[in-house]
Amino acid sequence: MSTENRRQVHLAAHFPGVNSTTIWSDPRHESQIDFSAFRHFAENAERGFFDYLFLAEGLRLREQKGRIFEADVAGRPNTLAVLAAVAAVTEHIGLVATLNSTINEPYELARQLSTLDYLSGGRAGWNVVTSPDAFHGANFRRGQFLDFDKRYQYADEVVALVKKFWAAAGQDDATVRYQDEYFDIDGELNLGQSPQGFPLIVQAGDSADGRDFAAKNADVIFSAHPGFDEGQEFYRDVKSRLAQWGRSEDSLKILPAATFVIGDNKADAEEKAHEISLAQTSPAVAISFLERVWGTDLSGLDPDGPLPDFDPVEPNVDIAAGRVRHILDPIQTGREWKELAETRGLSIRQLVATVGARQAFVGTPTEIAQEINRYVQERASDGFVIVGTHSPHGLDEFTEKIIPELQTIGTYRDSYDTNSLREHLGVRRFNTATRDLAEVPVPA
Amino acid sequence: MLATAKAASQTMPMSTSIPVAVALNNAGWHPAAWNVASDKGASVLDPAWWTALAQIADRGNVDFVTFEDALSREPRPEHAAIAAHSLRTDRLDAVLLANFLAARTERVGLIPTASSTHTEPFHVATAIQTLDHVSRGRAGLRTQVSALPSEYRLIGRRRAPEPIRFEDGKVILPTEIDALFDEARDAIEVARRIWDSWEDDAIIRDVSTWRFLDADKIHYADFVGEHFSVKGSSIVPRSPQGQPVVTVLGHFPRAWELGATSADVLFITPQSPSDAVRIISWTRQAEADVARALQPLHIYADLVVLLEDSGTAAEKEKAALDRQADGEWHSDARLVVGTASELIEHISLLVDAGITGVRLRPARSEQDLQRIVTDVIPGLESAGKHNATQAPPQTLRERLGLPEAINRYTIATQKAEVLS
Repeated sequence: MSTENRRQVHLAAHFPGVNSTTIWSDPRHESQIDFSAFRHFAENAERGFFDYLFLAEGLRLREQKGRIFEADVAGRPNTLAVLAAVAAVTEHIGLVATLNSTINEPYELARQLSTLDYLSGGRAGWNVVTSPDAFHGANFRRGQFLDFDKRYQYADEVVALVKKFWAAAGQDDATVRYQDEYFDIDGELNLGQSPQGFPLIVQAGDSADGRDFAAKNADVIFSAHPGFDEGQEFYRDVKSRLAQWGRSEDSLKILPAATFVIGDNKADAEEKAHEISLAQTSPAVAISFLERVWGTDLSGLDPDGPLPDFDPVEPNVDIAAGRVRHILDPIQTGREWKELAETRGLSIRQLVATVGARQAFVGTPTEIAQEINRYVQERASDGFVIVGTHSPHGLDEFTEKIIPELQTIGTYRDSYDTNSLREHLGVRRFNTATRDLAEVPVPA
Repeated sequence: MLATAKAASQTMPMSTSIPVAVALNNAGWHPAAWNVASDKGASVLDPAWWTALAQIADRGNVDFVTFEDALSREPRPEHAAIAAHSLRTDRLDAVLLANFLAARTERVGLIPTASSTHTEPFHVATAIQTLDHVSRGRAGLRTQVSALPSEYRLIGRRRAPEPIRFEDGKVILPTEIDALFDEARDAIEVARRIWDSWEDDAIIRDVSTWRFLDADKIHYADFVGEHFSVKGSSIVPRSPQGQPVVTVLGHFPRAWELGATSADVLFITPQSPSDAVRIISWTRQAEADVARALQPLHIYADLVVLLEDSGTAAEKEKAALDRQADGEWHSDARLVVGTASELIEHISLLVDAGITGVRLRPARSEQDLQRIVTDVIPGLESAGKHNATQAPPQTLRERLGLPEAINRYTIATQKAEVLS
């Protein structure tokens, strides 16, 4: 098979988040706040020719049982502010900021993302998240004002408005006028057309509404479907939604999150993976994880002992705040977990490590590179958002050992020969005549 | 020996040594400055151009740089007479620009403008904390109320007040202005609470209890106000300075009062030394009336400067710019068009009048910043009016002589321990 016909692997570098994936008890974890950590992380990712650096948004510290959650890493900088600083110490890598479309105002989003695009010379992107809950709203002027069911409809309007400002920017008449139940806007962006015209749009939701939103608006999906088979299914589903918007399959990239564990051989890597998974499941993390399903205080339980002998409480109580909730039927889930734990003789901690397992590539660098490449060639994804377990050195090993293997396979770049984030990813680019995105012509 | 030192300190008391700040505003404060800027003013969107300016200030012993901002292209009220076609109004977001420049400078303080009317107070507070982390303690905030109707229409959420007008040298204020300043006071209060919300030792990384944080050392802002409420706490751990330097520009009593209640540094626009005496005495009285809890307010005079080798050359440059602006240029601050030594002389008079610092606004960003660094600051130093900062990089608070900001909750805990 010639290299030209093979699909290229795209990678994003996820700065370690405020969750139990990040192992703060690991002495190698230094800081997730010092700018030197961001600088190192970004420089390493740039050495590995990653498409972009990905950063989540902090709107409020997480809580559990009405108290600030102590067991996970916490504390992070303002997303846009730190990315502006990272732009100053990098040259090529894209910079994608997670920003909530419910809480932030369209004009400010347009202006700040445009500013980041100028500061980075065309490397800015926006990961659109939509959570409209009262917990986060309590830190902002308008509090909770939007029903959960309307979040994508509202996000769609916000993205459309932001794009209107961008599309008009630098034109003789750059005025945007828009009026509906939420907005009464009349004015122009006080910036010209930024280097990319439209900074990149990333989307992370998974509901049917979320998929439609992505098909219409997004250039990248940060997907929640990392497994191979479900990945292929998700890939087919989402890409089939593109035609109705006149879009080609390649104009939307699907990048699930994945961690990695490198070993000298498969067995060595698997042993390391097991250790990592236990380190990520500290006794405090295990109990709190279970509490979020059981909906009640379980602090009296022994993390190395058996699961509770009772079912999760009814009605469905969410005792955590500030997290995305993945479990829809806690009683059913609780029963399944108890059965699993009994069958396999698992303690609470072992059960949580098992069911909380993250998508991980485990093996030698060659095996990991081959597996990543298989996903991409067989359309289970277009690449991955790589997550490390400590900051800031968590992806150093990926750059040193796995990137060269991907380059050997021949489906990964060995230099940045493109200038903007849109070009790195090979997605649609801004057309200055139509003032909209246009498909990239496929080279003959 | 002692006697000599005493005599010297009497002729040149240390208290007259004042910080020098530079206010960067696009291609310059003269509305036609873009005509004499690199790339005909397109440079204001070029990060390399900003880097060059910031590094000149950084190496040239400027104590801090402020960055103007506005959400819209609407001309400032004092530019009403300038033909619209001669204005260039592109602006990068100042808070993001300052964060970018923090990674490319070593010493200079960085104080971006943020709107207390439109921008979320929580975002402003955390972005400034981030600036303090990135710059290792060189961050400040300039809080600005917005009265430009065009800014309200861009956000599209609330009704604009009547605009502020300048008539016959007088400021005409809309009736809603008090509410805007109350809101600004609240935004600063929220920022200060957010900045203290993590005690310095909130991160414990205690493997024996599997706790990364000590939640008892993290506090809610719990601010409930007339204009907005913020629960807190911060998402950002306490920053190197703890409390970045808060600044306010004021042209009239309500704004000076905001300085007295809430700011560390107040910028004023005296037209003469006697005007400075009047404003300072009003403000000092306000500090007493509001029972100011912070250290005494630093009061800086704003001066717009256009500097050449001779007074004639400076006047000629100004005349040329005025012609290009196609209208007469007025500024809210006193204009000093002349030589560096004339400016130094004027600053000396202001120091005698009681000001504690100056913020120089270059009429032309490139040319006049260069003059400030090569002629004005060394000139002030030899006149004993400015201390060169040759010491290793320090925080902006240290540089400006502000006391260390000890966390309010840590103080409260210590007091409780003493009492119990």
